[in-house]
Formats: sequence, C-alpha cells, structure tokens
Amino acid sequence: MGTDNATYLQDLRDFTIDSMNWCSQEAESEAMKVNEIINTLVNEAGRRASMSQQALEATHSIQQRIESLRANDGKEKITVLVQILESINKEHNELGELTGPIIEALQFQDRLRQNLENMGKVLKTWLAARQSVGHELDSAAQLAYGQKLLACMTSQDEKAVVRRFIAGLPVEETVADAMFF
Amino acid sequence: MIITPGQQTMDGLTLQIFKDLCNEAKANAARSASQILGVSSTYLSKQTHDALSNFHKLYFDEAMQEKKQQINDDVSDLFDQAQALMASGGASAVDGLTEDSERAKERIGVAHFQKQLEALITLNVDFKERLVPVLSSMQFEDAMNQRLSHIDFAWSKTITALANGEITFDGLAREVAGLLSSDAERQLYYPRVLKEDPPQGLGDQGIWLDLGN
Repeated sequence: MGTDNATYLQDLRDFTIDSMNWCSQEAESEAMKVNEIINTLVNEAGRRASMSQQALEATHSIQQRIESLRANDGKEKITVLVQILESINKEHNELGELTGPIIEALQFQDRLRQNLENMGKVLKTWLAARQSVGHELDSAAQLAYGQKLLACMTSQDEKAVVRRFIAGLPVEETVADAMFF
Repeated sequence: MIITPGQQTMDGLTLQIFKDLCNEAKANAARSASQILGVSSTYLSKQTHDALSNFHKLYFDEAMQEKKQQINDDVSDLFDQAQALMASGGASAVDGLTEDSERAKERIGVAHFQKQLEALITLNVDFKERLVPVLSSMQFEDAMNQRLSHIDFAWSKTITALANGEITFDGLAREVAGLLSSDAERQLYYPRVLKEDPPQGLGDQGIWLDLGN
C-alpha cells in the first residue's frame, strides 16, 4: 500500500464518516420498528378493551404516519417520529402510558444519531486545523480550537466533553435540549 | 481532566475528546436498548422478560459472565414451554427445534442462548412478534458498540503512531482490517483505506440472529 500519512488520515476519516452514516441509517431503521411494539402493546389482552375509541383511532393514525415516514427518504426521521408521538400524546392523555417509554427510547436513538454526526464534524475540524495551526497548542490556539470543537456539538453533554478537556471556554446560557424533557 | 496548553498536542487532545464522544454514543445506544427492554416487560411474561434481561446483562456486561449457566437454564425452560404450547401445531417445527437444540448443546454460553432464541422466534408467530423488537434493539446496540469500538481503536492507534513519527500506516491499516466484524463494515473499509476488495465469506460476528426481517 505504501500510503503516506496525509492520505491515510483522509481515508480513515472518510471510512469513519461512512461507518457512522451506516450507524445513523441503522438507528433510523431501528426507530421505525416501534410500530411493531405499538401493535403488540395495543393488542395486549385487556388493553384494547380499556382504550377509548378516540385513543384507538389515534393509535391507528400514529401507525399510519410511521409507515409513511418509513417509506420517506427524508433526513432526521427519528426527530420527526418523536414529534408525531409527542403531538398525539398531547391530544390523548391516555396514550402517554403507552408511548411515553417508546418516546424515551427514540430520544436516546436520536441523541446517538446526533453523536455520530457530530463526531464526523470533529474529525473534519481536527484534520483541517492540524494542517493550518500546527501540532503544539499554546493557550490562545487551544481556546480557538476548543471553540471550533464546541461549534461541532449539539447537546450540552457533548459540549461538556469539550469543556472537560479545555479550560476557559465561554459558558453559554443553559438551554434544555429540545428533544429531552 | 483539563489539558493545559502546551501539555499535549492537538492530536492527543482531539483523541481524548473523540474517545469520550464515542463512549457517549455507545451509552445512548445502550440506553435506547434498555428502554425497549423495559417496555417489553409490560407485554412479555415475567419469565421471558427476566431471561431477556439476563441475556442483555450477560452480553453487554463482562462482570456478568458467571451467570451464563443461569441464563441458559432460563431459556431452556422457556423453550420447553414453547414446545409444549406448540405440541399440536405441527411436528415439523418441533423436529426442527430438537435438531437445533442438539446442535446448540455443542455451543457454550451466549452462542447457545442465541441459537435457542432464534429457534424460539421461528416456533410461533406470536412469540416472534413479541420478541423480535427487543432482540432487534439488542442487535442494534451490539452493532453500534462494535462499529464505535473499531473506530476508537483505529484512531487511538493512528494518533499514537503519528506521535511516534511513523511515516507509513500499512501495518496499522491491516491491523484495523483484522478487527472488523461484519461484511458491511469490510465493504466500507477495504476499498476506502486498503484500496482493494474486501475478503469474502468472513460473515458477521456478535448478536446476529435471523429475525426474518
């Protein structure tokens, strides 16, 4: 092979991003399987009988919307799926017990998807920076690099990872992650 | 751990942050699978749910290795129950299970358990509908763990090699290739990094049950 390190680093970065894209697609595909779980839950002995007609119709509507989403090529399907479930829960309180735990599971999958996407951004930022900044970081360079890494992050947990290793990064106002309660 | 300026290179700093992000991603995959397992407790029998929970702990927690036998016993009990339920449902399915069980005896621990689960989900449609979403989420967690571990390994080794001033990475690239645990992963890695076709017939490792998807 005899690959020099710049080419190898780019190839490994591209493989990493390809692999993470595969993981994201798997996460989305896995998320769409909640229809099977909802089906099982609704058909559980006793549950169907105890549900109002409105709740049953709402559940049917959820399942139809998930099927449409499954067939759709759009991005961020998990986010959309959670929004569907949350909006129907607001209209039908009695579905909360049924779908609440599923929404939580999906939120973790959405966070995973976000983690994967942002790790790819970190790799791109690093490889670009190591060509322009140099390998040894003085205080100002470390802070500047830390801010670039922070810009790759979405959640507070991810930003906390960067802050754990780099002191002096500006603190933002804490805003709850949109996907979590 | 705060890294003081000058204490570490950009590469080393990035690696530590990247590794923590990998762990964060793995934790989110695990939380999702655990949540689905929790949901299944509302529609599976306690015995079935306990067996699946034990399997999950066994597979993903090394400290639980000694409980393998208990898990196998649990699943064997389940298996017997399912067979009894299906006694009037067709001899061919039962024959198939018996054969499969005999083969499974040659296996140990998790492999044994996996084969039994696979047999369970082919035994009865209702069982399958109930078990597949839970097993699928575990399979998903396993796949995420493997992918992220390989990526973590590759970058850790690479950055160490860079720090040591290595100029070529052929040996390291081959070492990473040897770790890859699925055909899908090899199909991405070989053309991209090694500039060659992936080897055929190595198959997949991990919780790869035939869920009939």
